[in-house]
Amino acid sequence: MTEDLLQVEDLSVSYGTAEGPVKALDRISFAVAAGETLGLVGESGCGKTTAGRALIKVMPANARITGGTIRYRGRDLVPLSHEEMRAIRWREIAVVPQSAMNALNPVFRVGRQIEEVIREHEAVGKAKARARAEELFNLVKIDTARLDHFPHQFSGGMRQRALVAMALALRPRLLLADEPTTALDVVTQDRIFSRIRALQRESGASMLLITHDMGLVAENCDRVAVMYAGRIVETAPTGVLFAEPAHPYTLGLKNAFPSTTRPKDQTLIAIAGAPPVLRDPPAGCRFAARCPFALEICRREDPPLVEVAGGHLAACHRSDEAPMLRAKAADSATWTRTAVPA
Amino acid sequence: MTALVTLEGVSKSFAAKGQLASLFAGDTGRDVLAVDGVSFEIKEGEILGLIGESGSGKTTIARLLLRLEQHDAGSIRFADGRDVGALRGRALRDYYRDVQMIFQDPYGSINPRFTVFDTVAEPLKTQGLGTAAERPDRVARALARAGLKPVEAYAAKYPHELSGGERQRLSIARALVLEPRLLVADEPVSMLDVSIRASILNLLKELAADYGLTILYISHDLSTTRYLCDRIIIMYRGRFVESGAAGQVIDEPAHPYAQALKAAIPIPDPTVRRAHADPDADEEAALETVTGCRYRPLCPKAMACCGTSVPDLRAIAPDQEVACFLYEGLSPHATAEGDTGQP
Repeated sequence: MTEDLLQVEDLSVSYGTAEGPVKALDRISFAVAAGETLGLVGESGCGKTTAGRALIKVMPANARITGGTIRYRGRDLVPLSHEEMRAIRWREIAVVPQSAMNALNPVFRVGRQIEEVIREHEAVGKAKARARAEELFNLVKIDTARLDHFPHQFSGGMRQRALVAMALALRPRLLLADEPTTALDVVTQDRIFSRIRALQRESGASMLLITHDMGLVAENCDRVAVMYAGRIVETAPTGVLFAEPAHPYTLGLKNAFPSTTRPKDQTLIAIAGAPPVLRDPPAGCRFAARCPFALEICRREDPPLVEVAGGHLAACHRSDEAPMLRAKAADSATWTRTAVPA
Repeated sequence: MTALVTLEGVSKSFAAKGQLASLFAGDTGRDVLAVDGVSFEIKEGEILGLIGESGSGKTTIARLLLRLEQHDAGSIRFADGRDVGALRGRALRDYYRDVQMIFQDPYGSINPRFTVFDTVAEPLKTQGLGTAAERPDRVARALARAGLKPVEAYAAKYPHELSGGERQRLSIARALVLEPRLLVADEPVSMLDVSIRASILNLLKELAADYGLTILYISHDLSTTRYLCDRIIIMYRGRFVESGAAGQVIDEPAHPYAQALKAAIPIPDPTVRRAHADPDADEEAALETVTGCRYRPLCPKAMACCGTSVPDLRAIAPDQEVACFLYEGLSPHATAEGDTGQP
């Protein structure tokens, strides 16, 4: 019954620092089915980027996978060697990076960079690689004459399109997109996502979209996993997560997210405090210190991720009270108190 | 409301990069007109939003207001008649009591070796304000107003002991300690996390409501601007394309650029479907240098006149002005929609 393309189980990653190890990821589990887009959302430092990098095992020198498995088409990537991973990257799992500016080499023509990616992974000649690069530029709607241009001659939007083209060069089954449009203005962002969705429909590729933008999640993802302080705290089909969030952190995010569609005078509600320091995470639930619903048990025992409905999991001791929490969370007074008794 | 600051016909251009750089960039050494003849007022006590994508000139306007740059043409006048461009020495130092700025990066704009107290006391020292005995009170007041309470718990901390939101509050306290009349806030929340962003926006709202602080909020983000601001101005490539009451302009934008901007924002509600941008739209056009309206190459409604003359801002509703020939019913140049407008 494993139709999942990717299955991550209990994955932990630590960064070694002078002051001791920082547990950036603590036993996270998620899966991406064939053709599906999973959104990995959370704030800076929550571990979402670390999770993406761990999947393709491109990590900073001080990072180490300390436990868990990453099954891609049934095969665990964790024990694979550098050489074995090279065969997976680009060809199977391709990355659409965050910054188009830094991802392209400024001294080489864009076409040459795409051809190199193709030739490095497939035994094809120069002419074939060139033809494939032209085909890719057509796919992302950039004039093929631009293959002979340098990155600085492209607009920001065109550079990002070129990177989408590059990611698709070897027809990967999984696209890993980490904030792929943060450096772009919203109009260009909208075009890039329209293009990515269209290409995904044609190729049937899956996508892991890493972002902090709930708008992009709502529009692009089939399912969402919400991360907080190195953990996944809630996961659900997108519609369910927005309509019936169960974890207080997700409830808080929903209150805090500005939108042009909400009433102008409706107050945004902030979540007081800040995430814990991962060098020394607190016992119990990591959100407890900021949670208005935290009980005694929350500070003592770490809540497991449990099913609250079909396909909807939350890591909260009070998830069976979710409807009540949702009602109370909508009131801004709730968030100025530290705890709301049962 | 009276105007606190009045800008009239303000322009600023930057010389194209040095020879070597322009050789690589392939440009012809033309100056870049970052701000092109803009006029507006910041009214006493309002929160005015200046919106635009990168390169639109919004940050240049902030820098001109703060005299970090000098404008080439036009005038910038403060309420009491001071000509901002002409301020020198002592007069300029005095001006910074009235006008303060907070920046996008709460990490990079604070000295890591200063405690919270020293950070906020520093502007008082540079300005020679208050005696050593009076300063702690003024610092404590600024910290409390910026929400760093209880003050005793924060005063001796160093920036690295603060969260991102607390650091942005610290830079706000540092600006407030001089009790300025105008606060220029350039993307003050864009680097903050969503859960913290709301608290800083709410703080800015409170400062305007409780202390009558006037705020110029500069951002690329329509949703935070709509939440925070009373009035907004939308810029495109150095010019104003639309202005008016924040709710009116963002909810019912009139300029084709403002409409495109609004339409492109992802909506955080999976039950809402919106029309998406054409993924194949011609991006080469955005790079063109043009005569007439600068949005013309991308505008789906461009007409012949758009290529030959520049539209001025004109009122189309009590709270809304737009710079677009579509709304100039009496223009002799007006032609049918859909004309691609090649002169």
